[in-house]
This record gives sequence, structure tokens and C-alpha cells, in this order.
Amino acid sequence: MSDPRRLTFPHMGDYWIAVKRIAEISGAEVVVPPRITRRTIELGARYSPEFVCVPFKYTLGSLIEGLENGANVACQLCGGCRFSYYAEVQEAILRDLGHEFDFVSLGGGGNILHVMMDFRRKVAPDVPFARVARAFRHGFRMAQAIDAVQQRVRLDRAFEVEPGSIRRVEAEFLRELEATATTRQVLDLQRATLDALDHVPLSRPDRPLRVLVVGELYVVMEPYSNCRIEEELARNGVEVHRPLDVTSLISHSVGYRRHIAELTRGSAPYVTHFIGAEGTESIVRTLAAVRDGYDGVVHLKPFGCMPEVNAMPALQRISREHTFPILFVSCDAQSADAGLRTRVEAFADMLRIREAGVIHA
Amino acid sequence: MPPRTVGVPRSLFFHSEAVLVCSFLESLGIVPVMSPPTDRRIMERGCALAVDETCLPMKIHLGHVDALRGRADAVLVPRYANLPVAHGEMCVKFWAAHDITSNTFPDLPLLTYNVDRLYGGSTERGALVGLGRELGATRLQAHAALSRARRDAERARGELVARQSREIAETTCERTVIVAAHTYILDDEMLGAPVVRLLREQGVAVVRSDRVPDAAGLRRHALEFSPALKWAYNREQLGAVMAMRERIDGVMLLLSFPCGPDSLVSELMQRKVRDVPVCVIVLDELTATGGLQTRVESFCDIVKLREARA
Repeated sequence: MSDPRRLTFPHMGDYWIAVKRIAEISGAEVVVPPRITRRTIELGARYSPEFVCVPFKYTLGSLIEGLENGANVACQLCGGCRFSYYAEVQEAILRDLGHEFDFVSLGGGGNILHVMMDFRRKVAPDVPFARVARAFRHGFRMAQAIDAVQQRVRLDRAFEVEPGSIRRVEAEFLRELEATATTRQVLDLQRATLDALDHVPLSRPDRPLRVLVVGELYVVMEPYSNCRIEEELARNGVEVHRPLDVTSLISHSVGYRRHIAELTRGSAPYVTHFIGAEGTESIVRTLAAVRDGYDGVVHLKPFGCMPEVNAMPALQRISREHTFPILFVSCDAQSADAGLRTRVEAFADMLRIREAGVIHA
Repeated sequence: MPPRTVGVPRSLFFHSEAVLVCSFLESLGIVPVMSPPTDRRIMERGCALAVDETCLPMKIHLGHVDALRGRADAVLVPRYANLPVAHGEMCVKFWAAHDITSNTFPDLPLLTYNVDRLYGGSTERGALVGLGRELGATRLQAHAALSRARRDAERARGELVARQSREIAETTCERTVIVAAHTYILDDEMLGAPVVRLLREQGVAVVRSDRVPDAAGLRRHALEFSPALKWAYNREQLGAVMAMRERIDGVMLLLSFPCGPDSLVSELMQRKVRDVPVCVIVLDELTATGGLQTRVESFCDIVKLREARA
């Protein structure tokens, strides 16, 4: 191909900043697709199989928008469960739509090292491995910074005195992050941002409601796909905790089997085997939330998600046996958020009533 | 006191492993108690017990477990993470079958064994010998029972495969249709069995994807067609369609709502199999058969109207 290679990839949360930098350091040109909008999911849903899980639809829509904007290489990751088969079917669909492009699927084993090696072989074959490794280190630092800042944002957002003040610091951070050139700058920016967040005036009650968010990785990490449920919880005065982010995924991707063995060990009778993708984690983390005195759990999954539906009988049993509130949310290709807003409000109200001691277990 | 009777639900793994499991239990002096073929009551009970978004075969499975309550000392629900059938992984529903069952029936005594060759678990032999020991047999007895069970299972499967090959060779029907589906769908009285009967009533010869001989190189065929395909059952189906390509006049994909692997594999098949008519039928818990009959009839009409293969 005589054209220069212009790479595109599907969106998830704000991580495009890190992916873009990885590709740039490796010497590839990048076409960042437009942020996910209603059009993205409509495109994705139109060309996807009817009852495939919704991350397939979002990522397909995102890839279409990237190719429309002039990319000629489409990049998709491979993971557990159905995710491992996304790439092949999406390639067939995009070709039938008449797009001309190279399709690159990365990391069959789900391990970050495989992703790196695949990336070099398929995207940047002329670049020394050391440079690709440096690119990934930089990207990983960026993802860690995003996770550190947003984790903090989730804890504080409900209690800001001036509405929107935290959002402003976060937006500023993301803008500046894009411009960082070295990992040192990323780290400095992360520190400065956390510092700035320390100075945002808050009115946190002595004992705020604490909710843990668990579930399938894509709908947990892409706010558009879950109707911005974390912001909705914050609007109802809830401190949001979410252990699942790219940092935790990457650190568990090496030695995954050992990680799973550790998870299932103490969790009988609710889960005794690996039940796929994040399903096991959802159960184990919910058990921990019960133990650690959280007020409730929000469980997010795409409609029909196999591992998370596997987890639900156990979650329902935990909820029943420990009288522990769990809000189950299924996300699909529809964006009417009024219904969800009502459910979150009712959930938060119920937690508050329990907290006040009106309802006893 | 180990159980003397063991309930075996007629669902999921049962349809491919029944002979193995029952013969194994009998050799150890244990009475296997099978649940009856799926009927409306079992299906409705399963749907009531399961999480809404669970796939229909798993709902039916829970109905079968429920039907065995009180009829046996314990119910056997194994975990198959991967299978030697066309060598691949099982879908994660099979990974979780035991955990789902135990969480749905917290008070029901369950037996299990875990076949997981890819992720550091044990082989089928290791797993079943472990189960045998749990049931009070010596290691030697368990090994002997398993060897016999495997011979029985192989013989039974061989007969089914040979019978289908004979039927295709001797058929007087002018058109042959392959039905690509999981064994637990094809064998289920509320899912695949009525569809296969409807097809036969229309005067076409029916090939079941799960009874095409393995010798046809199913796995190789499947991987040529779809290199990233990892699920064992889907490799078997895809491989069977490819292996039989010269012999068939139509492909019927039978899947249940909302099957994860099939949602993607059926899409790919429709996009890549272009030389014969393909019909996709999605089965759900609605039991009205009128629409089904119309679709099967019109599909058979299309198959019959096309020019005979040169």
C-alpha cells in the first residue's frame, strides 16, 4: 500500500489519549474517531448481529467513524469470552460495507505482553522493540494517571460546593495530558491535578453513602454506554468506588490464572470456579463490599453478557442472604436515560432510608 | 455416606455425555436417575428460576435440576471448560453451570467434576476418577469403570454417526439440508427436535452437524474458515457445514436466544456461505409453532426450487 498507514481504534472512556500516544511514539499516524455519540451506536447497532453484546456495537460504530475520517488501518483488541471473536466478525462486516483497510487484531491471549508484541509485528514492524516498549510504558503511565485522577473524581464529585468545579479540573487535566511528552511530565501533571482536587471546596458529610460499581469492563468504563451512571449516583450524594479500570486490568493480565485462583479461594459457596471474564471479580468484589460495610453495589452489564449473567444468581443470593442492596443494570443500544435516572434516585433514597435506620435487616 | 442414586439432568452437557456418565455411574453400582425429556412444564419452571437474560438452554437446565429434586440423593452438574470435540473451549455458560446451579438451589446436594485441560484443571479421566473416589470407589475401580464407560460412549456415538452417513447415502430425497446447531438444541424436545421433524415432513434429507464424522477434519475446516474461532461446539458446526458443502442444498442455523457464541458465528456464516440458501431460526421460550412451520416450509420451497447442483 502506497498510502501512509493511518491507524484508528474504538473509543473507551478517555483512554484514547494513551492509545494515541502509543501509536505516535511508535511512528504511526493516528485518526482518533469522534467521541461516542448517538450516531456511533446507531451505526454500530445497524450493522451488528441482532443480539450480540453491546460493546460489539459501540466498537463497530467507533471503527466505522474512524474509517470515515480517513483511517486505513483498523485496530481492535482481543480478550476473554465473546470479545476474542469480535475482531474477525467486525472485519467481515466492515469489508462488506465497502471499506478498504487493513485490520489488525491485537493480543489473542489477553496478556499485555502479547498485545505489545502483536502491535510491533502488525503496526510498527520497522521500529525497534525498545521504542515500542517505551511507547507502551508511556501509554500505561498515562492510563494510570487517568485512573488515579478519575478515581478521586468519583469519590469527591457528589460533595463539591460549587457545581462543576471538579469537572473543570478533570477536563483541564485531560487537555494537558494530551500535550505531555515524557512520563515525568505525566507524573507531575497527575500530582498537580490531585493537588488541585485537594483544594476544591467540598462539603462531605461525616458518613456519606458509599457504593461499589462492578460489572463488565466496557460498560463500566465507557460512560456513554451506561448513561453516565457514576455522575448520576454523585448527583444523588453517593461516593462512588470502582476497582475496575485499565490499571487493574493490565496488572492482572500477567499471571491471570493465579489472580483467579486467589479470587475463588475464599469465595465458596458463592463462586467456586472461574466463570468467565469479569464475572468472578463481580462476585468476589461484592462479597468484599458486604464485608467492608459499603451501603450498596451497582452491577453493570451489557444485555445478555454471558459472564455477568453467570454471576447474577450468586449476586442475588448474596443480596438475599446478607440483606444487601444491589442495583442490576443492563445496558443496550438505547440511550433513553430517564428510566435509569429514576432507578438510581430510588436506589439512593432506599440506601439513605436504610442508613437512617428506618428499615432494619 | 456416599449417594446411592444420582440425578442426571437432561440438559446442556447431558446430550453429548449421557452415555459416558450413566455407564460410569452404573459400573460403580450407582443408579443414575435421568430427568424426563423437556416439556412445557420443565421449560416454564426453568424460566421462572433463571435470571431473565440467561440463554434458553441454561434456563431449561435449571428446570431439569428442579425436576430431579427429591428423586435422587444428589444431582450431578459437571463443569466442562473445554472439550475434545473438535478441540476447543466451551462457552462460559458451561464454565459456570455448577456455580449457577448451586446458587439457584442452595440447599440441593450437588455432585460435580471439572474438566479443564487448558487452564490447569484436570482431564476428563482425572476429573471422573476423582468423582468415582468421592462416590466411594477405589482408584482402580474408578479407572476400570471409566474405561468401560468410554468404550460404551464411543460405540454409541459411532452408531449415531454411521446411521446418519447411511441415511444420506441411501436417501431418496432430492434435496439435503444440514442443520447446524448444538447437540443440546438438536436433541431437546422443546427446541430442535420439532424443527428437524418439520424439515423431514417437507421431504428433505436432514444432516445433523453434530453427527458428521470427525474424520472429515472438522477442526481444520472450521479454522480455515474462521481462524479465531475458539468454541468447540461452533468449530464442530462450522466444520461440518464446510465438510458437507458439496453434498448439501441448504443450511439451517438453529440457535437459541440469546446464545453468545452463536450470535457472532451465525453472522459470520451468513456473510461467508453464499452458494446455498441459509436460514437462521432463533428459538425462544414462546411455544407457538405456527410461525416456525411457515418458515421451515418456505425455506424448503426455496431449496427445492433451486436448480439441482451440477
